[in-house]
Amino acid sequence: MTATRVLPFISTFVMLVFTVSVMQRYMARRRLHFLCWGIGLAMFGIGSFAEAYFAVAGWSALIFFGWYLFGAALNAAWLGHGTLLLLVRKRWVHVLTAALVIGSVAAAALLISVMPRLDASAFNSALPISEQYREIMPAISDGATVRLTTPFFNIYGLITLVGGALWSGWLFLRKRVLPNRVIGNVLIAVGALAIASASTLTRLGYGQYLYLGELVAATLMYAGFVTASAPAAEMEASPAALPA
Amino acid sequence: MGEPEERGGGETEGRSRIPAGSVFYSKIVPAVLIGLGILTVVLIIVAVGILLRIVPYR
Repeated sequence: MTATRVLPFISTFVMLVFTVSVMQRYMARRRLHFLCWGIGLAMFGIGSFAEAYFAVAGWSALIFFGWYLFGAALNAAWLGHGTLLLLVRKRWVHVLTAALVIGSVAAAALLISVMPRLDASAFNSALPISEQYREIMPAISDGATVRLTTPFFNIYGLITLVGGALWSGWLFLRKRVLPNRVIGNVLIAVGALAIASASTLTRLGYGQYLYLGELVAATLMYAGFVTASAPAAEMEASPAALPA
Repeated sequence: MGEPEERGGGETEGRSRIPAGSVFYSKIVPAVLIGLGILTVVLIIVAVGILLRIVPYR
């Protein structure tokens, strides 16, 4: 097994720890943005796990379903939507929440409809799945319209997740407070851009960078979350300091 | 994900502050934020180009 094939195992472990951290925060505070982040991170982890599975166990249609839907299509949008829920406290954001849920279900339905036409014989266990999924899935013109939905989810996720992190970092920098949150948000933005760049390269036919991009993203975003959350622990220890 | 505005401006009072005169926070971090913003815009343009099939992809 090459070094590249080992990366998804490490990414899966990092994302598992990250997801548990965020969901613990959700259980403690019941804020919707934590739930969206937790869902997005779990999706990210499912994508990484699927890549690890393909590396050791070979083809599985179910694992491919999980990889494409959660790893390639949806996770960035859910992560970014969590950031939007945190930053914007307006009613229209909940309309977007409904649209995201409906869009996710629609993408799942489109993927289910194309599953019987996957070409499992095109799978090569020696190659990362990101380099060969085009040969396994039918073309868009042949009915794999789910592939058309992926850029919409990823563009939305890129704008909201990276844009939100940069905006947050800028706000703290302008107020000249909480330097850990400035650094934390920069780390989150760099991590998200790492996976966004790798995903774009995959679309352009350079899928060999995806696993590295995932590991960099998982590590930097978790480091950013831990760095930015440090004062929050103090706040949680003092309920009177929590916002209404 | 970094919990930016969960607490209002007043609630950040008394918390750690960015040191005055810090080159890191006055020069490097803003430059990094701007650079990341530019990269984000470039990626969005490429992604939209892929979506509209202006940028060829496999």
